[in-house]
Amino acid sequence: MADRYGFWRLLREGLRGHTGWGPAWRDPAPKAAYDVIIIGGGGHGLATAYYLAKVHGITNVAVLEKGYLGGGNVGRNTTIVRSNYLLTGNELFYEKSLQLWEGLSADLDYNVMFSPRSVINTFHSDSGRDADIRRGNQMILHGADAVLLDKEGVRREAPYIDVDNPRFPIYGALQQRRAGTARHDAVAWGFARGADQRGVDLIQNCEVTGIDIEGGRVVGVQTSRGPFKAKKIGMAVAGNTSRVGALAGLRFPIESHVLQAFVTEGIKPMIDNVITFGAGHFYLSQSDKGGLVFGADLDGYNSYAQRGNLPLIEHVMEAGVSFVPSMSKVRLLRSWGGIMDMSPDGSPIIDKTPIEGLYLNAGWCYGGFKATPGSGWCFSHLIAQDRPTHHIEQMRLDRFATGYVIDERGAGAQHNLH
Amino acid sequence: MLIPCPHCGLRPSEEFTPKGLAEAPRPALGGDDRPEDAAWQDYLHLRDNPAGTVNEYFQHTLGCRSWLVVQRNTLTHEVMGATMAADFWAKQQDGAQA
Repeated sequence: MADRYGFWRLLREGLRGHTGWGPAWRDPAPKAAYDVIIIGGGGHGLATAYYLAKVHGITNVAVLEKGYLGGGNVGRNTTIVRSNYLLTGNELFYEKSLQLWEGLSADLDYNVMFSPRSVINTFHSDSGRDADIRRGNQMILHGADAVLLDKEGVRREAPYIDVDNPRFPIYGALQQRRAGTARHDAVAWGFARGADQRGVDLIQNCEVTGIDIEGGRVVGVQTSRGPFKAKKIGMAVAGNTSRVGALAGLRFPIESHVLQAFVTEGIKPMIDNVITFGAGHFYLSQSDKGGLVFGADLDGYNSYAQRGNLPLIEHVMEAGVSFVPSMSKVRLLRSWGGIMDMSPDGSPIIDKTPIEGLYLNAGWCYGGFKATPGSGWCFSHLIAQDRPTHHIEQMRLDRFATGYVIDERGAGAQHNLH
Repeated sequence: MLIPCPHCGLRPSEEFTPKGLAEAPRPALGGDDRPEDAAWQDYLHLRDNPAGTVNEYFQHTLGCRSWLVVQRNTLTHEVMGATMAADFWAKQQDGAQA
């Protein structure tokens, strides 16, 4: 096992001119057969492999990644971690995930820079306050934390916004103090290193081109690096869920949409929490490098392009400047897009599929990053034990047919509304 | 993106509201349809969701308010054409019968 990271290691390497650091994980030659193959080397796939090895003792595992590790949505998000959901089907899961975040750096021996700087959701009306009180009570009932801020509370916590904005006056906010941000790439790298140390093979540049099924049961995969046998296969491929599902002849309740995110030039510390605009859909935080990181709605049309269009960029800037007028002074540095696996009710699916031995982890919409440890924890349990943990009992694939949907927003069955 | 509305001509995409992929026709109402019926499942939830050319619903909300089916490429965002949604499904049925 590789050395643990820590003070003495840093001191030793510092004295030796940092010549002793090796790669954080191996680049193994693939084996012909594995107990479990995880398709997708993003945050969720790597976390699943890590917990399969660590919690369930299954180490004959391969993670197959089409590109490079963490090159998809885990490297493209706005890094927000929270568990402020209304419905039991979501809140049990996201609170479990937040609890894992709280111990993640120590568990992985890798600094994921989890920063519980609080998430503040503003409201602008009495009905908004009622909805947030209900949400806060739901969170507390599920073991999470929630604080209701009045107008003065928002002014104190977020002096950079104008609470007396004449068009959208701020009445207050729901704050989750244990929520915050994390360093997104470090999460992928930490899980990768932890999985690799426990014997998991991380195989990059390996695109799955076929899923072999015999008698209704998976037996292996065809890839750009040759065929592998597998007893069980877990899919954690986010925006490419439909494409990988098609290889097994399955149709999923998923549409792929583009979500854009933005970062400005670095400025001095200004925003020490995560804040969202209740009158629009806009969320904002400041990275450790000083850039303001923010995002808003989907572009709305189906896309696999990992880039969006200008009308949505204009919309996001308008929402941002309406909320935090001082943002108008800052120059935008970059914008980029990620492909979201949108489900018809806006909630994820972690379930078995109709094919024996094929497991599905999808439908993260734009909530996937915060779910990373929880998703790995629950998906690895499902794969190892063939039954869900209580956190994901409602996250079923058949819930759209049965009507037991988890529609957080109450928007109905339309993928791009969630 | 510019979308060629059959009534209004080439218009910018922000005048339109997208509603998702047009992969299955809306099932007829009436009878003892239930949400678990395959036709409703196909229409409401399940998608092929391919990377490449798709048919997608757009309403020209800030124009003539027509419901259109737009042919687009999801990898390049190229728009190939647009037809009235009713015409699109009528044509599909004709194709199926022929």
